[in-house]
Amino acid sequence: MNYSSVIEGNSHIKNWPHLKNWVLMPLLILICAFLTNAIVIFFCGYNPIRTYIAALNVSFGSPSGIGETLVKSTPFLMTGLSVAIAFRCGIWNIGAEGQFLLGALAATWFGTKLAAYLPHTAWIGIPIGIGFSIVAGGMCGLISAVLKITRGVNEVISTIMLNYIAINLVSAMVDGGPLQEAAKTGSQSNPLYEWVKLPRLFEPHRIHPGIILAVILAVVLTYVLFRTTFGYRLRAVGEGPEAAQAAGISITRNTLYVFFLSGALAGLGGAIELMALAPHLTKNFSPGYGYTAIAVALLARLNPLATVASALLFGALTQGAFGMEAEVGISGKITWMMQAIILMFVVAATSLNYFQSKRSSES
Amino acid sequence: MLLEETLAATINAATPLLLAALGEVISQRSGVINIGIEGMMLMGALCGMTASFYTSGIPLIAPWFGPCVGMLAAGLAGLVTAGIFAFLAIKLRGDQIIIGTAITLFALGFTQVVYQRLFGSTGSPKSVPYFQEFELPILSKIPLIGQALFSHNIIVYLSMALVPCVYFFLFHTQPGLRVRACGEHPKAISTFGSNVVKLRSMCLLFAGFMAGIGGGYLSLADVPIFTPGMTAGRGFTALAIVIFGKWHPIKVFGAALLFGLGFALDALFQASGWEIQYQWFLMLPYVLCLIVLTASSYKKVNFYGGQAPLSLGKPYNPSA
Repeated sequence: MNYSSVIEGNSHIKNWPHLKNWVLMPLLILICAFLTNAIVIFFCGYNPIRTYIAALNVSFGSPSGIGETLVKSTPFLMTGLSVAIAFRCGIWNIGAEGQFLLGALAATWFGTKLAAYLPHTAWIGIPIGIGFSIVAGGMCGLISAVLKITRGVNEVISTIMLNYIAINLVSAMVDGGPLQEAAKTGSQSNPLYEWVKLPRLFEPHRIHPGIILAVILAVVLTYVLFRTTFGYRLRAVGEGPEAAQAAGISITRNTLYVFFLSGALAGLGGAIELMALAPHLTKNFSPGYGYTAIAVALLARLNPLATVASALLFGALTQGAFGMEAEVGISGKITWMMQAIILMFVVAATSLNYFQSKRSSES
Repeated sequence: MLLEETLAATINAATPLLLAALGEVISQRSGVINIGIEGMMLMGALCGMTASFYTSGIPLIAPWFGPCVGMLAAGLAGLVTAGIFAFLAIKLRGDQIIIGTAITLFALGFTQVVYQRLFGSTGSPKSVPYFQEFELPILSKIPLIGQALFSHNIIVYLSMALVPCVYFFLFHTQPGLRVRACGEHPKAISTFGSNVVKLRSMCLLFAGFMAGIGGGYLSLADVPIFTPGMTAGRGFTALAIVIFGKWHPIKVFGAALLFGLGFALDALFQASGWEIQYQWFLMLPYVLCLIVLTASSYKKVNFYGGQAPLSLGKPYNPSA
C-alpha cells in the first residue's frame, strides 16, 4: 500500500510546495480527466463541447443553479469526510453508501413514527433524529470493525456486502414493509413530520442549514486530525501500523473509533439529505454517494478541508448531469464515468509524483 | 421437483461466479488483487449482448453464431478493461483497491451511457439470441439428478471443465509455479530471470477475460437481455469466493456452488409464493457472504487474511 504518498506528495520541493500540491496538481488532474472524458463522450456519439457547456450552464449559470449545486454537494461532502477519515487511518471503508442509507433509514423511522410521541418542536425533533442517524451509521461501521478485529475479515469486502444488505433493507422497509406510506401505493415512506424537517434558509432555493453543518464539520475534523492526540494516533496507525503499535498506540481501539466515526459521518449525511430535501425515504434514495465519496476524498488528498472543494466539484457535476441529459440526451450516469476517470488520474498522478520524488531523492 | 429445480438453478447461478473467480484465482496468485471484477463483468455483459444483437440480423448464419461472437466480445471487453487496470496498477504501481473501485465505477457509468445511446432509455430491454440449453445424451436420463445436472448450456460444461485445467496449470506446470512464486516473493522470481511486470499483467488480463465471459454469461445465457447494473454485486461475490476457496481452484469451485445456491434460493423463494417480502431473499447471498467470510477468516496473518499469497496487493518495483 503506497497510499501514504497520496497524502504526502513530494515534500522535496521547497519552493511553494503548497501551490503545487494543492492547486496545480489537482488542476492538472482535472484537465486531463475532462479531456479523456470528452474523448469517450465523442466516441459514444455525442458532442463533448455542447455537453460540457450544457453542464456548466445548469450548475453555475444562474443563482438557483448555484444553490442547487451547493445542495447537491452536501451528501458528497459528508460521505467524502467519512471516507477521508477512514482512509487516513488505513481503513478501506467502501461502505459509506450503506452507512448513508442506514442513517437515513433510522431518521425515517424516528421522523415518521417515534416523533409523534415527543413534543412537537424542531428543537427536540431535529437533534434526536440526527442522533438516531449517527448511531445507525456508526453501528453499521462497527460491524465491519468487529469482523476485522476478531476474525480478520477484509473490510473492503465486508463493507461492500453491507452496502448491498443496506440497499435491500431500505427497499424491504419502504416497499411493502413497516415504513411504507399509509396509502401503500408507492414504494416510499410517509413524509417526515414537520418538526423533524430542516428549514430552508433562502426560500425559493433549497439551501438548508445542513450545508453549513457539513462545512463546520469539515473544519472541526481538520483540527482534530492535525492538532489533537486522537488525530495524531489515527494518522500514525494509517501510515505505519507496526511503528504505531510499537509506540504503544492500540490499533484495535483506533480501528473501532475510526469505523464508528466514519460510519456516523456517512449516516449523518443521510439524515441531513432526508430531513432537508426529501420528505420521503425512497428505494433509490442514494444514487451511489458512498462510491463517489472515494473519488471526492482522494481528489482532496484525504484532507477534510480540501474535501469541501472537491465535494463542490462533484456536486456541480451531478447538477450538470441534468443539463447534459436534457440538452444532449446523454445518460445522467455519465457522472459516474467522469468520477472514475478523475479517480484514475489521481492514482496515476500520485504514482508519477511518487516516482519523481524517489528519483530526485536518489540523485 | 423442488430439489431438482434448486440444483439446476444453483449450477446456473454459480457459473458466472465460477468463471470470474477462476480468473481471479490466477490474478491473486500472481499478487494482484482485482477489485474491478464487478466492472469487468458489466463491460462483458454489455458488449456480449450488443455483439449478439448486431450479428443476429445477418442472414444465412447458424443461430449459435451470435452468442459465440457475443461471448468472445464479452471476454475481449473484460480484457481491455483489465488492460487499463494493469497499466495503472502494475506499470504505474498505483493502489489496487482504489483502481479496482474506479474501474467498477467507470463501468457502471460507461455501460449505461452506451446502452442508452444504442438501445434508448425507454421501452422494454432488447432480447438477443442466446445459448440454448440442451440435454447431454445418456447422462440426462439418470433419474433424480440427470435433468438437474446435465441439461444446461454449453458454457456451464466448459466452465466446469476449466476447473481442473486451472488446477493443473497452477500446481503442475512451470508457468504455474512462476505465477505462484510471483505472488509470494516477486523479488525471488525476478532474480531467476522472470519478468514480474509481464507475468502479472498476463495474469490480470486473463482474469479480465474470464470476468468478461462471466458477465457475458449473465446477458447471453442466464437472461438474454442487458439491464444496467445487472451484475448486482456478483463481481464482489467472486472476490469473496476466492478468499473462501483459499486461492485453490477446486475449493473455489465448491465455494462458487455455495454462493450460487445463495443467488438461486432468492429466485426460487420468490417463485414459491411465500408471504415474505422478496427483498429479504435478495439480501441472502450477501448475508451468506459475510457469514462465510467470518467463519473462514483467521486472526490476520497478513492484510487479506490467512493463506493469502504473501505479496497480494503489494505493487512490485522492478528497479528497487
